[in-house]
Amino acid sequence: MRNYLYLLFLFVFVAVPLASFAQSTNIATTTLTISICGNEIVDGGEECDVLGETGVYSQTIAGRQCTASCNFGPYCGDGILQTAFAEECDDGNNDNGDFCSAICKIEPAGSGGGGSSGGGTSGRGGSTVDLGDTIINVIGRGYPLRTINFLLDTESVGTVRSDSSGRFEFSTNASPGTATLGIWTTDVDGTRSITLNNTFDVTQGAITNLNGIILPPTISVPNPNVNPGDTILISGQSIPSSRVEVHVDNSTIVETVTAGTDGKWSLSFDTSRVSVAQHTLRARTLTGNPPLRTESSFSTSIQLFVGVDGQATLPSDLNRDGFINLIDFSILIFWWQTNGGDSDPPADINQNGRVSLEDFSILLFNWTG
Amino acid sequence: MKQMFVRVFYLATVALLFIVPSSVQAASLYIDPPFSTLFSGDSVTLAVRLDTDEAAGECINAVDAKITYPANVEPVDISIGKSIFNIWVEQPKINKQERTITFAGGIPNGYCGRVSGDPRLTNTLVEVVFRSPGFTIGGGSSDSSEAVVTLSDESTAYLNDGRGTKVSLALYPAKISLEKGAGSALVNQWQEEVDADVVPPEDFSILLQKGEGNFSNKYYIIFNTTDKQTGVDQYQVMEEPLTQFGTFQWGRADAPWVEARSPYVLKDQSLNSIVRVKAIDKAGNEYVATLIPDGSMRTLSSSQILTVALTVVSLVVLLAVGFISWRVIRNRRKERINTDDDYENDETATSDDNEIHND
Repeated sequence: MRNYLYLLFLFVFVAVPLASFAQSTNIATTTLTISICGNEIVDGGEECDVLGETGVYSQTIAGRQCTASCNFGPYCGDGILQTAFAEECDDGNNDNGDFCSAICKIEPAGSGGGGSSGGGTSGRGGSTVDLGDTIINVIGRGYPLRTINFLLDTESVGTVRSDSSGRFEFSTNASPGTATLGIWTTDVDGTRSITLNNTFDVTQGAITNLNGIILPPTISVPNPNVNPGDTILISGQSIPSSRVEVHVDNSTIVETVTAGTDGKWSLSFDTSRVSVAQHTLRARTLTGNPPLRTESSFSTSIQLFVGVDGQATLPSDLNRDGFINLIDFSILIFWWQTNGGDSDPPADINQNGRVSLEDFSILLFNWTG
Repeated sequence: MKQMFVRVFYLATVALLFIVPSSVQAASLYIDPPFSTLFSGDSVTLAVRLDTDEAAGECINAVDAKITYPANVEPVDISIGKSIFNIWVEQPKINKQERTITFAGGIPNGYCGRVSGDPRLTNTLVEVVFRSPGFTIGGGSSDSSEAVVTLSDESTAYLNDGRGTKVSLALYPAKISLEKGAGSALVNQWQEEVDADVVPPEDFSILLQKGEGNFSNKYYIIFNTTDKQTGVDQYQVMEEPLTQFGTFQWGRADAPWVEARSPYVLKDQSLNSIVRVKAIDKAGNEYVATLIPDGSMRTLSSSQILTVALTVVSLVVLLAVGFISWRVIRNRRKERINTDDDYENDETATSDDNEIHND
């Protein structure tokens, strides 16, 4: 507490006169806000100011404690999931019957929904209560006028067409619990995007909205094998009129271009800027302006072989049916821990002499469902 | 005062251990909760969780993990109900001799970290239920008051980058404090979850494939599903012969459920059987998927060949018996006619003689 009084002293007798001096000499106009933690008055920038409280965890909003820095300590109802304090959920309130109980425990099916009068706590009785559909709703942006594909837990659950601005909206029924939604498309030149995966919890009888999805751009080069000093055209498709960042290797070189109104973008890259070696290229989309700038996750990484030989793509369609799914996985498992025998395309996808987890990982990367 | 200090130190350690996995700039595999207390007879569920380096945009799609545990706790069950993995190369398996738990699985297109606003921690790979050794009567109990469950350095993870790149993993263990006495009430959270699970595994379908250069060019089936409550425990397969041959249903009564995993090479390669796959979760709820092979793909099965052969043999035997009977009857009739003719001739001859004698 004594330390805070020293700080207060410094603020009042040093910072405030300095600020006044700055104003009087017209050098800068800085507005200082002084708050005193420990005077039991909630000043600007403080959440609370209670002497003697240590900020220990509280199971209720009413019982929350103030910390020594005049913020509230963790509590059930602060909207932050704190598993260290055995919270299973935190929906920002202490209400029962809204899927997250008053003490931040998941309320199972049948415990009431949407704040209605359900209120029970037994999961067993739940199956008889009509909770309505469990739905995932997705809103996002991608490339204009393309078919967007959706995978839920590895299975294809439908497609939707994006509009001319690249916007799309999609809904699907889902089972409650941990879910992974994958979104992918192809660009106007037929290049496949990366599958954008989101893993989250789906609440029974509720609509789980997934907003603000930005599909990463596609990226391709005409020929991955180039001579040192050649200029190559890196291109792809993105959200119309968005900015696209192209990262070379681990972002050692970053170039930015703007996509056209049709979402197409291209960048001339002088390979004399990189060494004679194998390099990786990847891109991401930027929308908006700081501080509201939003960036997508990265695109597929493509390989560029500058002055060296290399194989750019690794096939995973082991039964050549145009899809990479459980059938290909079965074939991989058949050859598991062998050299892949005479499988064609080879089950030993990375050609290292053994069908193993590396090959499994490559197959999962290329998964189409 | 000393007690207070110890408590503060303990809380700080717990907080530090909890914070470390989420704050470091590398992928981490950790066991959650890092600290737990287990009274005699109770059980505790520990989750193996995965964190990615979200700042680097890292996604991970496959993990091969090995957990080691000491002798003073006993793993009793494993659940994959909350797992982010959909495909398992090796289902989680407890090896009680070596005191290890191993698993290898993956998620197509990768796990890319926590989605902002997600109400739960959805980064579980597997959950392991540990039980305390229980009460020991007559002494000889272990003096050890804690059990450390660790992730072996052999554990590996792979980036979702299409090249199978290995990730540098930070591994975090969990410590279980073992209390000698019993708690105020017997705690078995896992049993409560099993009791509460009344939902069967998710719907799924069976895919029929024929090996081309693999599976010895035989027909095989593929299946996979999830159960988001207690997790799929096992699959069973039944090949039930079709019934179009009426009374000749060879082997039908004996068609058993066989524990199996995908891919499964069919025993009836003639495709004259209805194939059923049953997925059973840890609570015993089940979902049965059925596949009736397309008629155009079927060939004659051994039972059908046997049925046809028996029918033909039966017909031949019947015809032979009929023919022989007919011949026998005809011969007998002939013989009888002949006998009658002879008798008539004899009669005629006798009467002629009498007439001559009379003359």
